[in-house]
Amino acid sequence: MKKYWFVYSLYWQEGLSRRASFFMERFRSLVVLLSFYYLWSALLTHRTSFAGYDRSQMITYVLGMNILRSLVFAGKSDEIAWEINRGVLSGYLLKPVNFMAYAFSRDLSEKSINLLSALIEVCVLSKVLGIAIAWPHRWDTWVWFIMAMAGAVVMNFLLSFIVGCWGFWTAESGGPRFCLELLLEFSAGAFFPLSVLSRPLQAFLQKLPSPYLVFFPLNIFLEKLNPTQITYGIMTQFLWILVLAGGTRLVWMRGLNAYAAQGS
Amino acid sequence: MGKYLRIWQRLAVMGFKIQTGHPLSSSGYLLGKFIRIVFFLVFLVAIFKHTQALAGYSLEQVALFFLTFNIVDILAQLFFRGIYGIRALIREGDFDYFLIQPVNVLYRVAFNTVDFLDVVTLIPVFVITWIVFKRIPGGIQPGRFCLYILLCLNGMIIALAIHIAVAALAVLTQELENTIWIYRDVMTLGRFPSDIYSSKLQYVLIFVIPVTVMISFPAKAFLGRLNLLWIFHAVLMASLGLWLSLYFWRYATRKYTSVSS
Amino acid sequence: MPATVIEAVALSKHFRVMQKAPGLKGALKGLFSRVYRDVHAVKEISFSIKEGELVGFLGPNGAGKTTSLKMLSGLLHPSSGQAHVLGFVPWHRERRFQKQFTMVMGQRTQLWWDLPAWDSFLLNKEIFEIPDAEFETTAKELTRLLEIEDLLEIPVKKLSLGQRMKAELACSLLHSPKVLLMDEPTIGLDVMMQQKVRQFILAYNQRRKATILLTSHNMDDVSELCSRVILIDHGRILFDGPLSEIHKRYGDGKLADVMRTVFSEQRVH
Repeated sequence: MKKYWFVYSLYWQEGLSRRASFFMERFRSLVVLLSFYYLWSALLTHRTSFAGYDRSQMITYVLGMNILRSLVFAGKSDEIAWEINRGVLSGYLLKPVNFMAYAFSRDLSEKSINLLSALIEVCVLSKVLGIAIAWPHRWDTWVWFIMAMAGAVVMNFLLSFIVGCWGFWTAESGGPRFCLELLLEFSAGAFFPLSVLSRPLQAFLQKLPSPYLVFFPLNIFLEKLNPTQITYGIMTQFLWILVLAGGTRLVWMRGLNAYAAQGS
Repeated sequence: MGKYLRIWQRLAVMGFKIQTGHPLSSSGYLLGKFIRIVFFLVFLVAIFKHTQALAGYSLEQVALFFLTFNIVDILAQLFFRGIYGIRALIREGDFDYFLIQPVNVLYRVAFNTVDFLDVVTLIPVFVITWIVFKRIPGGIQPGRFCLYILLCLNGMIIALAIHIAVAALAVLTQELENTIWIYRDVMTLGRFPSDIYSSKLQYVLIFVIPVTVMISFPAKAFLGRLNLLWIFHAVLMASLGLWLSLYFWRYATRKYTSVSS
Repeated sequence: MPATVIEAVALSKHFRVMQKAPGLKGALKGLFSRVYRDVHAVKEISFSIKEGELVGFLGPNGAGKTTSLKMLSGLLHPSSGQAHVLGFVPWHRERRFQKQFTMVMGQRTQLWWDLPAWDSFLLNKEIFEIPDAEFETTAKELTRLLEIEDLLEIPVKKLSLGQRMKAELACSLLHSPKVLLMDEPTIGLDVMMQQKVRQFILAYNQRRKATILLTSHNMDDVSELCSRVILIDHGRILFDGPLSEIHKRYGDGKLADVMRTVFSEQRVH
C-alpha cells in the first residue's frame, strides 16, 4: 500500500515541476469557465430561469463544472496507451506492482493537483466577479455529493483505462480517443446542464454512463434531485462501475495476451 | 514565386502521405473536429429553444459568429500549423538546416506540416455558413459580404502576426512553448458574440489579444453592425501587427545561437 | 593556380552561458540573480583553403571545431573577425551562397523520418531549384555510388544508421555543391560503414573537385582522407599543414598517440 502512496507523492512533485503545461491546462479551464459564465449571464439578464436553473444555480453549475472537470476528466490515462505502444509497459509488468493500482494512484495525484487548483480558481473568480454561489441548504447534500463525485472519479478512471488499452491493438488510438473524449465531455454535461437539450436527446443520454460524471453530481449539489432520484442515481453509478470494472478486466486480459504475443 | 508554390506542394504531399500512413488516427482527429463543431451547433439550437435572443442576436446570427470563428481558426491552422512544431524543430536540429538552405526560414517553418484534414473540415463549415447567410434576414448583400471576406482575411493576417511573434519567442527563449496555446484558448472566446463579455474583457479582446477584431468584426460587418472606424482599426491592427512581428522574427533569428553539440 | 574558396581571418566566437547552480536552493537563487560565464569557443583562428582541397579539422571535444564550421555555414555570427566562402560572407545567408554549399551533420538528418528518402530528395530538388534532368542524373549517380538504390522507397525510420547516413549524404549533394562542410560524418557508424563513407567522400572530392572541410575526432577519417590537417584545441589553431608534417614535428608512431601528445602538451601550457 505504501508503494502506491509513494507513487502518488512522486507524481505530485512531478506535476508541480511540469509547471508550464500544468498552468496551460488550468488556463484553458479558466477560459472555458469565463466564456460560459458570460454566456449564461447574458442569457439570464432578462429572465429569472433557464431550463429550470435560476441565475445563481446556473453560475454555480459553471463553477462546479470547472471543479468536476478537473477531477473527473484530468488524468494520465492517455499515458497508458502511450506506454503500451512504446513497450514501456513491460517494465511495470516485471515489477511486483499491480499496474491498475499504479495507474490509479497516478491518476489520483494528477487529479488532486488539478482539484486544488480548480478550487482556488473558483474562489478567486467568485470574489472578483461577485458571484453568489448556490450553496446546499442541507448537510446531507454534501454527503451525497461527495459520494457521487467519488463514483464519478472511479467511473471515469475505468473508462479511460479501457480506452487506454486500445493501445494494445493499435498505435493509432490517438484519433479515436480524441473523439471519445469529446463525446464524453459533451454528454457528461461538462459544458452545460443537459436539461438544456431536448427531451428525447436527454432520455437517450441518460442511458449512457457519462451524465453521471458531471451532470448528476452537480444536480445533487444544486439540490435539484429528490432522495429517490439521488438513490437511483448512485445505484446506477455503482452498476456502471461494476460493468466497467468487468469490461476493464476483460480488455486488460485480452490486451496482455496480444501484448505478449507480439513480444513487445 | 513559382518556387515557393512548388515547395508548398511538396510539403503538402509529404504531409498528406504521413497522414494516410496513419489512417485510423487521422480519421479519428478529423471526425473529432467535425463532432466538436456539430455539438456546438446542437448546443446553440438547444439554447434557442428556450430563448429568442442572445445579447440581441438571433440563432442564425449567433451561429454566424461561431462559424466565422471556425473559418478564421481553421484557415489560420491550415497556413501556419508548422509553427506549433517549432520547438521540436529547434530541438531536433531541423531548424539549423532551414537556416542554411536557400528558402525563407519562416515560410519553411510555417508550412513544415500541412494538414489536409483542415481542408476537409473547412468544406462543411463553408456549406453551413452559406446556409446561415441565406437564413439571416436581409439576405446576402454584396457590399457586406465583401466586407465579411475582407475582414476575415484581415483576421487571418492578425493570426499570422501572432503566430510569427510566438515563433520568434520560441526561437529566442528556447523555453517558452505554450504561448501559442494561450492564443488558441483565448480564441475560443470568439465563439460567442463579443457583446456578451464585460466591457473590460471586450477591451482586452479588441486591443490586447484581438479575438474580437478577428472574429466578431467580420460577422458584425455582415450584419451591418460595424462602423467604419472599427474597420480602420482592424486594418491598422493587422498591418502594424504584421510589421512588428516580422521585425521581431528577424531580431530573433539574428540572436539565435544554435543548440550546441 | 586554384582559387581560395574558404578564408577565415581572426575568426572568434564567444558565448555567454548562464551558470545553473545545482539543487533546489540553487534553482531558487537562479530566479533572482543570474551569473554568467563567458565561454570562448573559438579564438582568432585564421586559415585559407583552396578549391579542391580536402581538409580535416581535428581536435578533442569542445575544441571549437563545430563552432567554426557553423560560422562558415552561416549558422552563427562570429563575435569578431572575418570569413569568406566562395566570395560570400556566410552569415549574410545569401541565397546564391546557400545554393552552392552543403553541410552534413553527423547523427542528424534532414530526411523526413516517416517517409522514404526519395520524398526528401524531391523536396530538396524544389528547395535548391534543381532542373529535372540534372536532378535525375545526379540522383542516379549518387545513389549508385552510395549503393542505396534499393533503399529509396523505404521509410527512413526503418533504415539502419549506416544506410541513413548514406541517404543523408546523397540528399545533401543533390544540388552539386562546390563546398562541403562535414561535422563528424562517420560518428556512430561501424567500421565497414566508415570505410564506405570515406571512400565516397574521397571519390566525390576527386570527381567534382569539391572543396571539403570535415571535422572529426576519428583518426582514421583524417589519415585516410585528409591531405591537410588543421589541429584545433581550446579554440586555437595549433597546427595547419600536411599530415606528413605532423609526424615530422611531433614524432612517428600511431597518429592517435601523436595527437594525444599534441593536445596534452597544449593543456599543460
